[in-house]
Amino acid sequence: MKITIVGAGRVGMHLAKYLSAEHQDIIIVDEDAGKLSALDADFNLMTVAGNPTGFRTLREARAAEADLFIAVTPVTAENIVACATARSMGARRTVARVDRYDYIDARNSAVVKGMGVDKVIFPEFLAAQSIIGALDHSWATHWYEFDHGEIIMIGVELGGEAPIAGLPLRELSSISGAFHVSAVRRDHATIIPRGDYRPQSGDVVFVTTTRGGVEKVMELTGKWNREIRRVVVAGGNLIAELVGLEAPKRYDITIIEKDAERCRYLARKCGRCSIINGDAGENDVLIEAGIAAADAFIALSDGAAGNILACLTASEVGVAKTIAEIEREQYIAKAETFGIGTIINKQLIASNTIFQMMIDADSSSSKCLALTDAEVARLEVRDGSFLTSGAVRELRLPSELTFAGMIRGGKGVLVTGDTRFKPHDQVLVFCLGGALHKVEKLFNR
Amino acid sequence: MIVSDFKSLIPKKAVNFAQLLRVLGSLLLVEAVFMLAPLLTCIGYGEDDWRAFAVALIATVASGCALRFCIRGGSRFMGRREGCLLTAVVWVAFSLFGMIPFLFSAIHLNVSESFFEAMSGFTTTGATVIRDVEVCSHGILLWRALTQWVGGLGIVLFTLAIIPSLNNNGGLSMFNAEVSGITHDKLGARVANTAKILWGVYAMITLVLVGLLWAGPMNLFDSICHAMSTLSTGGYSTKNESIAAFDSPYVKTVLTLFMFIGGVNFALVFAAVKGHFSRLWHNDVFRAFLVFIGVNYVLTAGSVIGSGAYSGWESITIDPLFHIVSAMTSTGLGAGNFESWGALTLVVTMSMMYVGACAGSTTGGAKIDRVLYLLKSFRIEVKRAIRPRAIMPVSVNGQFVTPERSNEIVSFLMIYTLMIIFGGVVLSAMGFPIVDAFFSSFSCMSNNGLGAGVTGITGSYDFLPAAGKWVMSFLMLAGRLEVFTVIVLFAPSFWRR
Repeated sequence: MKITIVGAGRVGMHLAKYLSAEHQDIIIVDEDAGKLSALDADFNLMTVAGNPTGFRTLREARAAEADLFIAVTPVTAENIVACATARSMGARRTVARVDRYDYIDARNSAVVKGMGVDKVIFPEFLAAQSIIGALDHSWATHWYEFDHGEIIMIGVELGGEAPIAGLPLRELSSISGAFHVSAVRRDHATIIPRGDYRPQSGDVVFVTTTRGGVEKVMELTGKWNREIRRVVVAGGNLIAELVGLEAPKRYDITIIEKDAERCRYLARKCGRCSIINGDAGENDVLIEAGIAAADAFIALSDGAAGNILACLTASEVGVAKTIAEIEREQYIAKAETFGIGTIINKQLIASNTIFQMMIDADSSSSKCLALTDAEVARLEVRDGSFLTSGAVRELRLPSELTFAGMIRGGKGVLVTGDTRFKPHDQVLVFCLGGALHKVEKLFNR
Repeated sequence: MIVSDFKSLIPKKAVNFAQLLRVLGSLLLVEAVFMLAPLLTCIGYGEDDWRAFAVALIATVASGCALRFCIRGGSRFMGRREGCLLTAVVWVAFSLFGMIPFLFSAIHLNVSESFFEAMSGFTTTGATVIRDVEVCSHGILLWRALTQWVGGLGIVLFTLAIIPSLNNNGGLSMFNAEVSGITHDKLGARVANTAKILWGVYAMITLVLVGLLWAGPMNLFDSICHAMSTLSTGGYSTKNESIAAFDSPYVKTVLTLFMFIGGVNFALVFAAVKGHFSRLWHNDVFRAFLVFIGVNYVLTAGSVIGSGAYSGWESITIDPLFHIVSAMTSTGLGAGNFESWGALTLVVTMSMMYVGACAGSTTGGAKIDRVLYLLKSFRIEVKRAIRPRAIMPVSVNGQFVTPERSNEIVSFLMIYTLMIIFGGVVLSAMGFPIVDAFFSSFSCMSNNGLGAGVTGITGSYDFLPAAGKWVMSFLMLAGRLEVFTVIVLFAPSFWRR
């Protein structure tokens, strides 16, 4: 697929590197030639230095031939203009990063489309939604829904009391067909477990289930969904503002923000929230915000290190659920080993959204979700595919992947060893890092 | 993979040899395909040298398959180190296997001669150790031309165009290690697109040249060989007297034009082929190339008249022009005895050999791009002497040059010159006459291949001592890969994790 990316910030850079490794034709545009030169020398892609909304730059970046045009500069107006220009030049699909709710409001979608923007990504909004999701399912570290919840993939960190700890997985499947243990992250490695694998305390297990199986997963992992009421948010950035606006009424939210002017703005904007003007790094401020009685603590302020430490401190004083924003993807894997409840990363969320769009635009792309050292792909079984030749256990699959679940006729179904695929099943495949091409080969066989 | 544990990203060893050798195996299989052409030619002409090519082919295929299919383990990772090392190794390996036909053919070169001949071919130097090329079989002549043709645009570039598994970051680092110039133009989003476009243009122009030469006094075989060695600016000929043997103004004119095309950045040639001629004119380096040719032509023509070597209209029109373009583009095809054209001609020739033609072309030399940067910054330094507070950026082709880049250029020219001196000193120490020693070293480093007989002592490089041939082969490789790719392999830090 020919993809033009405008803006070599975190999101743009990340997408460019990743998609280039996935054999897509990438052209990336930025004003800063210095930023591009390193990218140009080390990655199999083309770079164009120039004004992101300049006609000449966009022509050079072959916007006219782009199957997907992604504008992710920090400036919304620039992204919109770039998309509009690219669309007039002939780009097939355009995506703009935005920073205002107006653009994602359903009432305005026709207006946005009219500007030449097919799809908008609002990373802060997506991050806020993930945070709200994490509050709703406070017992899980990861929660992803496919096809509006037909299939749910849940990451759970096992405690010592978990009933499944120590049991070989083979025995589990005989107790319950309600879920599928797709992957386990132990220490620094993610693996696809086999029947003789015994999960233990401290593991993060990734379980695939359907809507009806969630209860069973909670039971077997020894978790209960603690009702979250009082939430303390450290840092009053855009994500915090959106959490404050979008979270259901049952949450009692307190936002701590250093800047007085920003506090006044937040206080006017998010009427339901309490706003505290102060430094979340100071004990007095945290106490005033009610950390002692809080059920959840969300650290959005200080960069990765500060957020991780703030979450660890909050856990120590008895906060049940902690959520940290980590800006550098480099630290995510490490942060996950610290026992932070849930980790939020804007780039990952934005990229996952774009992968989903690529699937919609082009059936040959399959990637839909990125996790630490692993990814989830979604592929359709073709007519006469090798996969329909027998039950899953007879197929002799590579060890780096497992079939987690599938959508058959609009309904979520789990995959077991006895499952026989039919053409047009949408299969969710969990695969370890770098094995995605093997999965694609398998589905083309 | 999208989020990775940091530990998993750190390579286990400094250089991933397993993958490097596997890729090398595939590349050797590509070379084997090229060997089929001379093999079939020999069979077609009923020449005994087909045995030499059969041996070479079998050896190359066997080694290629062994490397490609028998080496297990290691990851598929290829980074900058692997890119540099593999590029250098590929050029040596191609020469090692490419020399086998010379070893076993009727002309019976020894190992150092054969390696020199093959390396001189692939690096498009065109210096030869064969004194009488006219007794060589057609197969050998075609193989010499073919090595130049493949080496001209780049061995790695060719394989990037045809091996899909190299279309990744590893392939890109090989591209960077091989392509000449300060910046590397990409023509497509992926490196394979760029390679395909460049090779497509190159092959197309070669075909046109074959047609034009065939329409003149040359036969088809000579046309093919000369087309390949001209566009690649290599300079191997099928005649002892080189182009002078044909004694045809038509041939000289056509070859001058195509040597010139071979001296232009192929990204620009591609733009011109697509009809964007204004791009050519707006390119500073291209204009400088034209100016250099013009000035030097006038100087040489003047020198011819001044030294009394005038002998008809050709001697002041096409002959000096052919010679200038041949020297600048590092082709080294001879159109006559330029030694009798006056001392100025020799000076002009030497300085043009140093400058070379545009980066991103098939030529050797230090490249006009770098000299242009140098001249422009020199002019600014002069201005600065009068107005020390003035800020005057150096720009070439509308791109401003950063201080890091100017450092890179200056140190390149420095090392480049030092290596020429190194070669000269080594050859002198071996007892070679001092002027010849330095001229040979210069000629090899700039991939030019003009005969060492400039001082009238020898006509061919077979007079070099065996050790001297290896040193010259090394210089040719260093010159072709523009020094850094080769020099970096000698840095201890390259081999440390």
